[in-house]
Amino acid sequence: MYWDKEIETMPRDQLEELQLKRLKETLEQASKAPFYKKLGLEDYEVKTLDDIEKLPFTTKEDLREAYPYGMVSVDRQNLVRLHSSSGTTGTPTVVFHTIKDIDSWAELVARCLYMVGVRKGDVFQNMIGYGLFTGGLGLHYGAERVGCLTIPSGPGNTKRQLKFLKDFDVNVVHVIPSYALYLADAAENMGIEPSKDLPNFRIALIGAEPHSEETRKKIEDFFSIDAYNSYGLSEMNGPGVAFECSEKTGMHIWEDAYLVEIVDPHTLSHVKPGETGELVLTTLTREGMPVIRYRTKDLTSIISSTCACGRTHRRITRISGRSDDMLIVKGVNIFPVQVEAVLLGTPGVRRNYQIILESRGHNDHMVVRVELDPGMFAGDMKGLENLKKKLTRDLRDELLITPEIELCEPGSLPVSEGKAVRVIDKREE
Amino acid sequence: MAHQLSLFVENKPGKLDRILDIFMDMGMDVKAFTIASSDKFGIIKLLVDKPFKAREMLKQSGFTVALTEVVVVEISGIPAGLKDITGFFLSRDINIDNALGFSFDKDGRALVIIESEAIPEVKDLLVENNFRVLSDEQIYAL
Repeated sequence: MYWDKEIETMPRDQLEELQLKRLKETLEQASKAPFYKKLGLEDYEVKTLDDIEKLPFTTKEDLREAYPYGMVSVDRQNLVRLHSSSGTTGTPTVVFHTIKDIDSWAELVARCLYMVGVRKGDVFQNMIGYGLFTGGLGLHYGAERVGCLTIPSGPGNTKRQLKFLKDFDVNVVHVIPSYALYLADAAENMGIEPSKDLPNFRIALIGAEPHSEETRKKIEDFFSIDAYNSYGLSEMNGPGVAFECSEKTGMHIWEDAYLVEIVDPHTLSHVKPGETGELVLTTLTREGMPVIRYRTKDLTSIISSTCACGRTHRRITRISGRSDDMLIVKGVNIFPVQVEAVLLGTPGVRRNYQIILESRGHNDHMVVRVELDPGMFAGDMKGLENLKKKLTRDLRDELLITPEIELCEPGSLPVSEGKAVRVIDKREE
Repeated sequence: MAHQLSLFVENKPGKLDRILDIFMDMGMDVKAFTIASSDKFGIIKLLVDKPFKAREMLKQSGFTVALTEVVVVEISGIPAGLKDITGFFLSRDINIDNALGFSFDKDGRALVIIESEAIPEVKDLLVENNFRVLSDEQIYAL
């Protein structure tokens, strides 16, 4: 049931004691890095966990500024690994690991895998990018630690993915949710029947891009498996920061390794317990590159109630958006993932979409462009008008503003990839 | 039943042009067509001599296409001949969803292409009541 029972079920008071001890060690270690030395980190005094609020934040811009080696807090010859985030503009952000860091990262990932039922002897196909991106190697090391036969297939080459799934009797996959949906379509086209051809396929670990509960349901239903949401970011190692347990009610965040805060993105002070805000994390075990109060830009809230699985580490809710991809339209906060959720629940349209924001007079105007599903086209205008009406109504209920729907020909919108540009903001300043 | 092609297209120049290229390549005859648009998109309907083959070709070219059933009736003229049909439909509470009618000779004889929700039944009723309903062969040979 538990990979590391003592840690995973540690009573809260002991866990917090451990956190305080590790926070003090981390601050001492971090103070050796040029970036934190310049910030005068060693002058801050921390006596209780609440004192974390006195410490300065670290942002992605800080990491860029410290490029290349400014965040490193050990002798460089002790570093064994460098990863870089998938940032598309400007200087990349890099993260360094010592051999001990790699070991504790693998341990956290193994904990996650064991939690969702992955066991020694399982065949694990890792369909996530290897290389600088942390998703591939992060899960790879964890899966090997559990004792899985690990297939580093990486993404793409869909026919071979499906062939391997079938021929090697794969039990567990790690996959980006949009690719899992694509894989389901491809399997259907190739005549693969999950119940017959993939009888021992049990688990999909889905993460690395925001997705809705509907997406999870679609993946689970098509393959007859359980899909578990995973959360991580390269600045905090990568995958393995937080993971769902079999209850599927929020992701346990490993509090022996990360100190969790939720702050209001504008005021930067702590939100009330249970309220949504920006997740801020401090590493508690990393030696090569400790990071203090890192602003993840991911929006979530903490579930403090105890979980039926017995783990004492608190859960965070599904990431509801990013404080930097939040759109403000007519004064209302809107996240693209909300639009995705409505589209997935609407027969007749595909999941590709585009949001266009315009100014009309002094008002914001939102257009949602969506592709018609060719299989559902009955040939009449009435059906299309009804579809438009239904989408308008459902989106208004979800977003609280009324968008204009534009039905487009299938295949005419940019293809869905992890970071597809879905929002075009033409509004005047 | 006779079938008509129905295509979903974005409301942009060049769409019909491409469809006609495909038809000319495969030697497809078009008997009638209509275009109806609603702001950003439109529906092009075409009555052709080989609708099933045409549907396959259009699908392969990436078009979103459906086949709908139609009934074609010859009438003595418009409005008089057409009123026989509308009066008959009114008495049976039958609604016309879409229609295209045109007079084709100097005596005023006309053809009406009718789309309705319950096409097979409507066709049977029209035949039973001595309307001049065209057979599929007659339609495709127009």
